[in-house]
Amino acid sequence: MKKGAPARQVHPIVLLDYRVRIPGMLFVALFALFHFSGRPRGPLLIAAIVLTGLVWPHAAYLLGRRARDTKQAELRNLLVDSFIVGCWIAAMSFSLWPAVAMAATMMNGNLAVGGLRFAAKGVVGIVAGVMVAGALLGFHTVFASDMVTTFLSIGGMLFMTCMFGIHSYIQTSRVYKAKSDLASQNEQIQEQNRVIEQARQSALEARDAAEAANRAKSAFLANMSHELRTPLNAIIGYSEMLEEDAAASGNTEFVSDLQKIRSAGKHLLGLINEVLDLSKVEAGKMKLFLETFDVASVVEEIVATVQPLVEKNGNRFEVRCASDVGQLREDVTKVRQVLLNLVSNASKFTEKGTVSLDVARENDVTGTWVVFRVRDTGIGMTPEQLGKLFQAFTQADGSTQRKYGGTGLGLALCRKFCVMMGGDINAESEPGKGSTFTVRLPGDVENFEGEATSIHRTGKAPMPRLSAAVPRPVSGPRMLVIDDDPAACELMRRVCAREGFDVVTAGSGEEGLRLAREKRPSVITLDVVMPGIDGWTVLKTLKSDAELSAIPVIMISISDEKNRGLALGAANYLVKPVDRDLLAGALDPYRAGAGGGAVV
Amino acid sequence: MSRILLVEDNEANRDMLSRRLLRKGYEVLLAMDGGEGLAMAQSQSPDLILMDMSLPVVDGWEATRRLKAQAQTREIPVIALTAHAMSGDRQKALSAGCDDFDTKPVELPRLLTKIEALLQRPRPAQGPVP
Repeated sequence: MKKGAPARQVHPIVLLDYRVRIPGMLFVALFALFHFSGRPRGPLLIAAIVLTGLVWPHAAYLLGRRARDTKQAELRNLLVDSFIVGCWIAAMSFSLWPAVAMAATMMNGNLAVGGLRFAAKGVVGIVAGVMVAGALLGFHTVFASDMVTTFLSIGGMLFMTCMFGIHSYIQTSRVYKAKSDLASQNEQIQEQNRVIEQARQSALEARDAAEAANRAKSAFLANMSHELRTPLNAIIGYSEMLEEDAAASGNTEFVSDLQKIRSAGKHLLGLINEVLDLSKVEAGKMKLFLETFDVASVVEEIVATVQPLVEKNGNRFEVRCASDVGQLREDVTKVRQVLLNLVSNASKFTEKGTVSLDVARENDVTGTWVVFRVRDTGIGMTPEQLGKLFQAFTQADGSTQRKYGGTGLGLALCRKFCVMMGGDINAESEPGKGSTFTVRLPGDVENFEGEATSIHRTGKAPMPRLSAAVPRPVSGPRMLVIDDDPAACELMRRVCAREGFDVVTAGSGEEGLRLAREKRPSVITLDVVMPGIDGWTVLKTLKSDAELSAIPVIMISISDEKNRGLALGAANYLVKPVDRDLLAGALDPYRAGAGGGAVV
Repeated sequence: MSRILLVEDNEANRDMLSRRLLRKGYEVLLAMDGGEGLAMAQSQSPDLILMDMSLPVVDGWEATRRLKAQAQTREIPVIALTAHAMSGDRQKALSAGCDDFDTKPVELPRLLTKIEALLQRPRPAQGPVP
């Protein structure tokens, strides 16, 4: 039966009906055979009986399987069945027993497969069969039938009814089983969901715990370093005092010992500072204090500081600072710290060699950069050592620590500082030949896009700054920035100027209110935490002044009190660190022209 | 002889710094917390105040704000001394009204330069540096 079965899906009723149709049509053929026994049986009748009982069921099956829509084909087959049955009813002169047996069984089958609507079509099929056969053979009515046909009809009807019953039972139990399978699958899925939810919860808890632990660690380190510094202060101070005393009384032996105490204290202080810095960076509390400074004079200063250190190991110190290097707008303390660290590292790992510092301005597609190169001819590093170079708490190896000292934090800090300032730091090295550290800082003072922690970039990598000089729009809508942190003010001024605003800054609530009256800005950004008049008071004052109340105010604060801000009349509320895109979005409504009816 | 008020809660640091200042020829007044510092600034009118920032009772920032808010003490220069050697602390101290800032451990020559610069500053009406 399955020979040459097409690989596609065949509707299950095709096979189901096939199994029912074989005995069903056989009964029909037998009824006819016995009905016409003892009467003249022409070849046409024999052919019709054979076609009905032996050929049609298989033909119907093949038609059903091969059709494009197997279900529709099978329903058509059932209508053909009905038509055939109708024909035989008329042909057998409406003999009651076979007619009832055939019609009842046919109706049963149609109802089972196609429902009421289809069964009605089946009735039409039967009637059509009756009409066609009646028209051809004449409408004779002989209700009685002989004994054999009668019993055969009753037997056939019972057999077919039982068959339908069994099929129905099988269907019901299949449905029941499917339902219970589904229920158990549902239960499994729910169980899995529970497990997943539990895992998610514990992951969240673990994350919270880890974050809390990390915060606790940073806070501990910050507090601890503070606590450590106080006694250190006394150690360094008293040793200095004694040193002065000893020097005054000519006790040179003490002087050198006291100097050792003092320099050990200073070394310890440096280490503590590094730990504190790193913990601040990791806690996100490190801020940049931007100022424009002359690179050459800072380099000179650094050279003066490290010269003795470089020369201690018998090294030559070469400094080349290009004359066109100009100015930088960065946190000068951090630039100094990075360079001091690199040069003192270089001299620490070099003996009787050369340490050089080259400073130059370099331009590439990403803009203009000030590049500091620190080269040494010292012990160098292997590629593995280079790989771990900028990680906190790792030095090249344990023996390095013993021989050269240090916390292993210096370079990690250098990298963090450089990235904070919008630049980067790289190292190249060869064992035995020396190392080169390259620091690149954005050298574009005018179009500076660096970051302080109060405003951060969405991207991680240093943003390439194309040197497309955006002309400062002077006629743009006026904006007033009120923030006590000058660095935050400056940053807002730069960012918002790029957004097309003519920015005025105020360093206090009082100044902010005065400038709001004087300059009538289109929009105000207002920091909440300020000494003197705080942001809330400024907001209330603005909103209660008839002339100023129409100016939209965007509150910017480290604490999320959005509802309070909006309730007091703020147009928007942003939480520090302010995302640059969010800020741009908040300023959008006021960009086009004078917003809020303010006079520009 | 200039009179310097040193407000410092840590005994060792107070002792050490006061002795070193005495040697350099200053008259030194001592206060152990911000409250005492404020009282002495009013009663003694020192020429300069060295103010530790993390102080008990009234902290250094608040004490400085109060000093700068009073006409009587406004003109006395204040140098903040803090163990937090972060640039943020410098900003914080200056915005509280301090005239200058130095980190602990103190480097005496550097501190002396700052003291002298402020003592030599012309006294007439000058508001707090923002």
